[in-house]
Amino acid sequence: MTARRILIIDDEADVREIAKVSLEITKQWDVTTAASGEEGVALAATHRPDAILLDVIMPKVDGLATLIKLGENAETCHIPVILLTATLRLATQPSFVAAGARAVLVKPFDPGLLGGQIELALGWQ
Amino acid sequence: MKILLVDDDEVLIERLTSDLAAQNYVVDTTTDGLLGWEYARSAPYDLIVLDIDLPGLDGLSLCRRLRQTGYSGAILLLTGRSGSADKVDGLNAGADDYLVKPYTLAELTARLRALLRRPNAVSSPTLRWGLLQLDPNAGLVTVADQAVVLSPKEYGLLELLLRHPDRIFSNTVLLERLWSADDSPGEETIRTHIKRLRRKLKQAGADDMIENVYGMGYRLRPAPRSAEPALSASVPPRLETIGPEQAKAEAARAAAIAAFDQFRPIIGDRMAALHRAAIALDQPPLLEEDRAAAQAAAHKLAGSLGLFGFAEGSHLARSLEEWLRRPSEAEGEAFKALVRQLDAQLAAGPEESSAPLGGTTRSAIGPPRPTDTRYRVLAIDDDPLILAQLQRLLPPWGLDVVPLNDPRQTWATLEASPPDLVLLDLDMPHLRGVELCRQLRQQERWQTLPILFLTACREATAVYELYQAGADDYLPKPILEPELVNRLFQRLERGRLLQTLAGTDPLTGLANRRKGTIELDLLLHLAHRHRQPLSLVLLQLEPGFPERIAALAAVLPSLLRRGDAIARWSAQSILVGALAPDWRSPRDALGPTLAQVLGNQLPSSPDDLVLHLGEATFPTDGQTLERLYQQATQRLTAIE
Repeated sequence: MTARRILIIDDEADVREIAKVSLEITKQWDVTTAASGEEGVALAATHRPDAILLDVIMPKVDGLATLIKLGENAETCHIPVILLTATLRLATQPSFVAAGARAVLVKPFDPGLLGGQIELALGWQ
Repeated sequence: MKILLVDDDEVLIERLTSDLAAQNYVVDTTTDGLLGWEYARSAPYDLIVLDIDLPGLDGLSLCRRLRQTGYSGAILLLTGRSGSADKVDGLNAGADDYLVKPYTLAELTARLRALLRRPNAVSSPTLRWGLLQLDPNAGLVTVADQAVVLSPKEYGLLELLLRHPDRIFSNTVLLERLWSADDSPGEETIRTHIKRLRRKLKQAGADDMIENVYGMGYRLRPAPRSAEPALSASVPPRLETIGPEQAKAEAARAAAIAAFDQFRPIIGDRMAALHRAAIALDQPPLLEEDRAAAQAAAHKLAGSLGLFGFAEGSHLARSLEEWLRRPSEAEGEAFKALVRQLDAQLAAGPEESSAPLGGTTRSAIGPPRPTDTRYRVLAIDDDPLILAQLQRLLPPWGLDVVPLNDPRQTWATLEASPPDLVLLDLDMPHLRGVELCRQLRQQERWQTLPILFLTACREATAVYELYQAGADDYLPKPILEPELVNRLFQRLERGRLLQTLAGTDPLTGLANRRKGTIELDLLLHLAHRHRQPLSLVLLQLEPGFPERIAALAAVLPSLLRRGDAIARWSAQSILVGALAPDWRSPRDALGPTLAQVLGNQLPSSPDDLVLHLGEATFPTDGQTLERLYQQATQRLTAIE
């Protein structure tokens, strides 16, 4: 089986890096990262990842705006999106559900368990 | 092992305390039944010794109350009465054993040891891990028959881990279990003790015995299976039992911790935003721009510190974020204290990774195991399925569920078993969750009780209404276990933190040592900044009879100025910090009144009660609290 491809969109470099390292070590997935919503939307269209981890609070194009843009693009609308947030109540707002978010993961996550949590949330097991 | 002694015989308490302390037990004492109840509610004890005749609340009633509220440790009753009816009463009240006065100290400590051993009575009382042995009777630790010299705290840590081989002990739990209420150091101290213990064990040949569980605490590793030395390390003996998944998880965690240095600058920037807010609180106003920047920084820290093993750091950052959402200048000191705590945690570095590439045989987080600190969660929901689910999910995490399917019973249940947290359903017959929440918040007693809603409804207006009614948070149904547990602990830990910041010594009503340290620290900051002298005065009473300590505590505020710090420092001492005092000598300023107060306490016999006073002044005697305190200790002399 070829490795899963994951895109992480988060403006915080440390979270991006730890998530990437964690998924590479525990699952040997192929991980790409983007530091902003715009970059993420563009990368999603060219890379066609199997799933996207999306930070909720970002400057300029925030998580919700990014989610909506991903949903509007025929290239990316089918890619499952998991929200990453330090504040659960932000991510459980109805607008996120309506915009198609598949699951929510709370930061800080355990770098040892992140991959398993993604598999569980997306039914990949 | 931690013991609570409740007895109004001060001579007995003193002798027993020193005797038990010499045997490495941690002892809290009180002479009043009601205070005993407060102590027992505030920390877990392995054993409680109760006198039957007590002021405040008698021993039998206290014993009954302890059992009714779920205390499961041992209880030993002491009494002057020897009638068999009394014994039956005592045992019926839930005591494990019963000792009639007069008895010898040796007899009493033998009974205590027997009670403490009881859960392990099937096996030999000596605790073993590989070639290491701990003999509780002798207080002796050996590795391959060679004695290992440990400090009392190191011994206590080791004994606790050996007695509960499957449990994870967080810093908070270790503090509660191994330090007395008078003496609660910071978490760095625990790390230091663990490090020293590990070093000593390693030198003795019992390497790699204690495991850091990522973000959760410490646990005993499984003992090596054979009696071979644990050191044959060239080929890791347990390698074949490590599942590949766990090994990878450990590796990912280790990689995250190793990456911390790389991100120090980013973390430093975030801390700088918090420091700017802290400075603005001293020199108002706190500009909206700075507040917002600090809140954003706290939010990011909350989401990231835990990645690097600073689980406590994430909790602290979350508290800071909450505070910054609605800053109040009155609580500015609490904010600054939290920022300093966070500084200290970061300075201490991430929890050392005890697992370089694949060290453990178990996964680090799940499955959950019982922990020692148990919290009580009152769950109010008319859906029996939800209640059953909670009763199944939460107890393994140390969260005991009190289920309630009729909200009208709330008040009676709250009184009978006061919870640490309430989970409320939104839509219930008879009484809506929001209305119940509002009613709870109207009562002073329940204003700070964490309240979380469980709801399938995610409409913005409904959520808004929850927060308006005073809810702390809400969780969507269906319930996801990790999310639920995570959110509950966030709330519970935050409550504990606030309690600590508001810590009061129950006997004297003064600040306890932990809060006192924060207050003195603040005064020292002020002294530094405004270049004013700070006088640190240590008052020590021998013997440290509680009511005389209380009498001193009662009169001290009238001798000092508002803003001076006064803290109960230990069972026998009070520490005072006075900024730019108007006295030339604290001995002249405080001595006569304090001596008179003590004299009035004992009109007939001044006996051998002695009050000592020692003083040190910033900046002449030292720049730090530790140094000043040392100086004051060295200068302790009796007040005539």
